[in-house]
Amino acid sequence: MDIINLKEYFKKSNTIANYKALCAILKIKVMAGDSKKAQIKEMERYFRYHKEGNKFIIDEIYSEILPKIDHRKDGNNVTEYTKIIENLILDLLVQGGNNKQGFGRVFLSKNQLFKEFHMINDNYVYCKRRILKLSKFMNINKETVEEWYDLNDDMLERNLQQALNSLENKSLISWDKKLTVVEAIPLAEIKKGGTEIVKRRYIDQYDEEQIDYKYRADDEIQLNYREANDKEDAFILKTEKDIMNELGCDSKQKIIKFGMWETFKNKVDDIVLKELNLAFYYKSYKILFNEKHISEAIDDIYGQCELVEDEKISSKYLLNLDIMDRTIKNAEKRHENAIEEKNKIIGKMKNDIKGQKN
Amino acid sequence: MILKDKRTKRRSTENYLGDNIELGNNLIVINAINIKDNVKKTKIESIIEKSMEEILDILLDEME
Repeated sequence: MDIINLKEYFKKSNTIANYKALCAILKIKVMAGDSKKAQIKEMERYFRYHKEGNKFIIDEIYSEILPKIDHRKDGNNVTEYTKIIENLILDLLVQGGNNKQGFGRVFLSKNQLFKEFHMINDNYVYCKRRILKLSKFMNINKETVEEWYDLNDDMLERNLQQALNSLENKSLISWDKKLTVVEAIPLAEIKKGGTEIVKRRYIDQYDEEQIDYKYRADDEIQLNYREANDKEDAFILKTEKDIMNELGCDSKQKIIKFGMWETFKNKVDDIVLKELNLAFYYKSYKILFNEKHISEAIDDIYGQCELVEDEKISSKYLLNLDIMDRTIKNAEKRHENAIEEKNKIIGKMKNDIKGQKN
Repeated sequence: MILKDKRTKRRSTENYLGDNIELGNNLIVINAINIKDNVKKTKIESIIEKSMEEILDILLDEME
């Protein structure tokens, strides 16, 4: 939720045309039903508003976010495994990412974090790009596989963000989702006519096409990971949209659905490499922290500076079990709701037929 | 509405729950067997995909 953007908007006007426009300002997804209710509830922690028809009139943007009020029985809005994720994040931060600038900084993709914390296994990401084949191999309806990934990916990311928010709320970290770019830097001295980064495609052990990057002069390049600047961000955005249009799609979801993700990615990456000298890019979580405070927080939890290996393994194992359990419970709910819905439809149809006979 | 009905029908089937559990067993459970070999692209699939990309490029060039 981009409250800074809302604050900027608020300087000019306190009236927002409708819910959709509000979402655009806050840079959040437009939702429906219960998700929308939950989202609006969450917004109410950041600002006070009243409604005039469809319009949202912002009365005040709070200087401090209001705490979450939870009405559930256990009075704890943080699921058990969100707490485990929090501890694993702290442990990950204390182990790496610190630099000599007096603060720590890590860039990690969603999937890297999922994998590191055992929220998914090794098959997850690989199979996600091959849904049709996975559906055939497992003999499961393609729509069910797609739905499984959509819903569970969202759930896992929500849990991860919940844990990050909780740590941010304790002022232990500051996080944001940023575009990370990987610069290809030639290590060798730049020679005349030999400054080009060359992309090489090859087939790996799984018969999959892979790509690596070489410096034409002597093969030595270094990949430097950093946050994209505004210019790069804008260029990548424009290139993605151009290629999306070329492929006749209007969203990344459609590109994946039509099995064109690799074509899309290759085309965009080629242009980005040629124009910006960036090997590739991805969305990642940028986490800033102070190592001293993180160590103290871990010390408070465990009475020592780092999670001992056994504890870490058992935490990850527990998290994995919890997540599996949650996916099953959610599927059960969907199944029960669908049966209820189906019975309603059948009941309505029966009534309609009766009505027609009478 | 039709889409929602289709979804309701799919989710209400007996297989639905079992399919979801099976997906979790293969994609979440940490000690699951490696199924990458079973879903990898065959050589012919890679060739077809590559050819489709090339055809698309030619078509786009001609359209310009």
